[in-house]
Amino acid sequence: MSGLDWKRPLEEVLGGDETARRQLAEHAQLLPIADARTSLRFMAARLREHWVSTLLTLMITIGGAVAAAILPRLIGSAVDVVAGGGPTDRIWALGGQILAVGVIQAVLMALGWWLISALGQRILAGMREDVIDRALDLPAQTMEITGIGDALSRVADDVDVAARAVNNLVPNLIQLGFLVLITLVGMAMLSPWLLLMVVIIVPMYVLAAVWYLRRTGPLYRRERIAMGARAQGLLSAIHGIPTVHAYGIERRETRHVAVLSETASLLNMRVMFLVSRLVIGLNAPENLALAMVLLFGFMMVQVGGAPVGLVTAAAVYLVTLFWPMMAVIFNLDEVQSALASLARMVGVIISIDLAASPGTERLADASIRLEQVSHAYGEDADGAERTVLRPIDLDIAPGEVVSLVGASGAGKSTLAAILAGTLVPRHGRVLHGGTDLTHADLEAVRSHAAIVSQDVHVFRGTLREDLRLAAPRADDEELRGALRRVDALAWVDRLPHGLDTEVGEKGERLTAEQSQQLALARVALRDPGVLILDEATADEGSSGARVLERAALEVARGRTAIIVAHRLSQARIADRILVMADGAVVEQGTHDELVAHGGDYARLWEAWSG
Amino acid sequence: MLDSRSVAVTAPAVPRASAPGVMASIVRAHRRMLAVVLPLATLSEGVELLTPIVLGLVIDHGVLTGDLRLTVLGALGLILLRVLGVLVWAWIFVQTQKACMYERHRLRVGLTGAVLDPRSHPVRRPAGEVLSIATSDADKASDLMDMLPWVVPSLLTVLAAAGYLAAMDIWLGLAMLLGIAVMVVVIRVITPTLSARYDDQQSQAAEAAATATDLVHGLRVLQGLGVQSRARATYRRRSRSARRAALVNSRYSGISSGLTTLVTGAMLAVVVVLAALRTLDGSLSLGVLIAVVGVARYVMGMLQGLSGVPVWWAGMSTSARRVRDLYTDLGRTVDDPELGLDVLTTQRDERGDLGGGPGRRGAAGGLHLPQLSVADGEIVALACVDARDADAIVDAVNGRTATGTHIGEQPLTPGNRLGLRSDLLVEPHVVDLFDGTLREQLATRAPRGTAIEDDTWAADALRAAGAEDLLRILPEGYDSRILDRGANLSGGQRQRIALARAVAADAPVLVLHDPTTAVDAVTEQNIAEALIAARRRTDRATLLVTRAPALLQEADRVVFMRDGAVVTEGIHQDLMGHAEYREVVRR
Repeated sequence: MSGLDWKRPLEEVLGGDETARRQLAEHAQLLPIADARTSLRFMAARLREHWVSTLLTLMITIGGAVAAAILPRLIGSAVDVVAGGGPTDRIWALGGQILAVGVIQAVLMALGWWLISALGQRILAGMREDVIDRALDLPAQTMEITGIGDALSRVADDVDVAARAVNNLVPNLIQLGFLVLITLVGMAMLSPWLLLMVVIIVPMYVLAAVWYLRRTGPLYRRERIAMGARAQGLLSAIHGIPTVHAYGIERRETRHVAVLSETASLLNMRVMFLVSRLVIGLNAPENLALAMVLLFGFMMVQVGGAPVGLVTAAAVYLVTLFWPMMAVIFNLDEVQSALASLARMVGVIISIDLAASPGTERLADASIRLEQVSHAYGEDADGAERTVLRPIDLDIAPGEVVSLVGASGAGKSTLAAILAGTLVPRHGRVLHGGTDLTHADLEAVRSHAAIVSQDVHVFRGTLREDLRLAAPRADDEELRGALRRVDALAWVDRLPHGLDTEVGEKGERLTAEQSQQLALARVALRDPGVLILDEATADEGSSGARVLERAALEVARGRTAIIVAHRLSQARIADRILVMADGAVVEQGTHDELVAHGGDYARLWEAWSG
Repeated sequence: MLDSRSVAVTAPAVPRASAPGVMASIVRAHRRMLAVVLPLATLSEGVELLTPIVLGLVIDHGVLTGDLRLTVLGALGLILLRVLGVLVWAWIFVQTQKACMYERHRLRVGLTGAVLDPRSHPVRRPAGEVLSIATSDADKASDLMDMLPWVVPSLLTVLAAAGYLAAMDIWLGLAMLLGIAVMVVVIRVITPTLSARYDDQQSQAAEAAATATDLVHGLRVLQGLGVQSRARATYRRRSRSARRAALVNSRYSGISSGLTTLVTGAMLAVVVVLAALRTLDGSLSLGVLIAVVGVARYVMGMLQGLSGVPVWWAGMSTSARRVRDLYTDLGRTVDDPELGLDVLTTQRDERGDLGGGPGRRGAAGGLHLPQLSVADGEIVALACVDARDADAIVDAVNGRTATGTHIGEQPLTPGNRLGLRSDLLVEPHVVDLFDGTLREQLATRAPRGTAIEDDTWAADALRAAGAEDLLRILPEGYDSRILDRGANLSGGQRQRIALARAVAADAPVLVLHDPTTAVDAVTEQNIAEALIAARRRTDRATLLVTRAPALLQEADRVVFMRDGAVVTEGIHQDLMGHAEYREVVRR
């Protein structure tokens, strides 16, 4: 009762689900993918780096295949001895040789497997580290546009697919491949008739393999995308269950997952139809080979007067080959899927640059200076820049607390990111401690300025590990000190294992407020000269917000601080308030000055404070 | 104080062990197919075994005796046999794969439907775990359909092969049995050690992958702190220990592959020697010698394949159990007719499906809680001293518990809360956006008829949520794609889209829980005015649970609550005279 229509067009399966259609569009892959030649060149280069073990692996593998290819000849010799009515001790001797070759083969196979797999694992480990290195340097702006889905699938799914292949498939296939190759050579050397057979049969296998791979490649690629979208659909529906139930869209969301699941199933089944056709097709060369062995054997023995053992050896070769040939071809699709993952990993490694240090200059103090800085994202249809920040000059003294106030889209976050040095403005110069950031040492800038936004994340592992990301050498006293400063020590001490409590996705669930306190504690440990709080205490009920505000002020004490303020209470305590509108600073001054001035800020304050 | 827990309606938990098994359900669904496929599969596997035997016969009686006719006929017969065999195999393969894919799809969609169905028990597991059960475990459990049609015939043919060898020569038969025994022992001894290494490698690799995922999720935080190089070091440590485990595993896999090769080789030597000696003394023919060697290799190959079955089976039944347990925890079963594919893939929501829902609803008669009432045409704000009171009120309005709440005349109970959703929308405080264009976001529950004309309805909703600037920021306006969970938006933008979505739903009774916590003071002021203007209709009732003065100021009436009881109510300006109220809304 397989109640699905397996031949249904995918367009029909998608039906009215526009979201699914968009998700399945192949151009949704946003990070670069390497082409076949680039991937090949990359792998060759990596193999060259390990050339000693590559060479050794190659020799051992060929040795194992040669040993395997000797066996049919020994069996043929045994048949000849029998046919000639030869002595029994020759049989025993040949039996001994078969055993000995078997032992050699076993040892070489074991060694070969180990070496291939180990080499693969070494190369893979290097590659996954390279991929992560680049993912960590992906600019925040790229991530905002693309979402992190593609990056996640590169660092987790692709690495996983490649690792599984290296585990089992790659050693198996390489050994089988060499076995087939050497066996064919062995057959061809046995008699010119068999050489003829090899010449006829092998191209048929190659053709079948090419036919199969050409058709399955795109199917697998699309299936992979459908599976990704399916997982995403399910996850987002589960995360959003309160919303799903409130809006009564549970069936729509279920159907969305069902549509994607059916798409993936149909694509997978199309591959299976191809597999069944492939196996039927490969039956032809196999049968041809069987017929030829019998007919050629007949002629060799009856016309050419060859020994029976030769035919036996040929028959044994042939029977030995069927299974490995089939196995090689059957596994090609997994190879293909592994290669696709490889291309995606290589794409990231080759096309994305590691952040390089722009210069070596150090920063003198915690002052910030902007000189005619302005910024724009992209361009309009008529080539004009979409300005988000108009030219601005700004001097912030070390230790000064500056607050940015304004409506959404006024340019507050852009200005904050530029001040933090995480966004490079289109025009103008940004100087930290008197040094132009374009000449500064990368690590120096990174440790000089920290930015805390409302995107909180608790890293997996223990609380101690999470905090030590900010200060690897901090001892428990320092960690506890930082937690105390943000008012978090009380609840940390109530956790089942204190600092050793497992947190993050697998461990103890922290509330949004606790996570944000943790983020502030990390800053306290990191101890940067410049701190930017971008809506850091935003999404909270009023009581939680007050705790966070206190914590934020405590952490900001003694630093140059830029506060993107949601609540005007945050603005009030600043040394200077910049009121922004339409990408420009429209008012500037202390709270009292601005209230007295009676402008935008004064009106806002009146409405806000009730 | 409202205590939702004490009156929570929880269905009695079904004991897990007595719940219907997933594998049994799979077999039941395909029992007719299996009844045909299993015998046919045995037949096709038998042809595979017959190949070397027939080959030997033809060599014996055709090639060696010089009988060309018999050689050609034998070859043709062999080909015919193999063609038939492969056709049968292909048919079986397609049938079993269809069954396998179907089951995967059925379990996956069934689990999704069960998890999302509001009548199920709430999910208490992390989303990632549910995902892995609905994908990888559903796949593995369905592998049963892949495994059965292969394992049963394989076992039968291995036994038949041993029988054939014994019939040729009793010593050969015994040697074969010994070979099988040694192979089984080797596999039984190696497999546990091996699978321990393998598990170790897998869990280390999973750990590394989880670390990678975690770091990418926390990328903004890492970049904000400037600790990329430390994150790098963290990952490198994980990656290195995964590599160590993988290297150990590859050594053991090598040894295991070598051992099976060794057993096969030794077996071959014994069979060749025995068969050659028997042929020498005339009890076997040369062709049989070839057949015997071929059959022995076939058996050894099969055994290597079969050796993986115990591990495969273990994984499969674990997965099937995990699927069943998830169903049980949700209070559902795998064979629930409401979770059938035909139901889940065709049913539409009463509301929420674009074009499928009813038109604009009229007045519902307001919202009435024991502590407060919101009449039609009224906009009431609720300010609570303790955030838990606010949560309790929102819980009561959600209807998961019976608390004496009414929508108009109708009591809101766990039993009818789903039906009442067409009159009541409680926008959750935690914002969740689903992948779709801006227009689709806003149309999530827009009444039928509004969404198809022009975009004025959407513009109105955006204005009410102070989110008109999004049209300027997003490159393609209403057709801009909002990623899952609003990943390409800021927190404030997400919250305002959710608010616009709630306004566009135009529910007769709307409850908003802290709708402006992620927006700045300027925008909050704009929202307060526009939102209230949008909801100010005689047939609409609105409850704002908030402490934002901007919203409180615009509401018709503010209810101030402490410890689950109303302290006082009135307009904001008057309540500002109340010291405690002033303290609560002060910022």
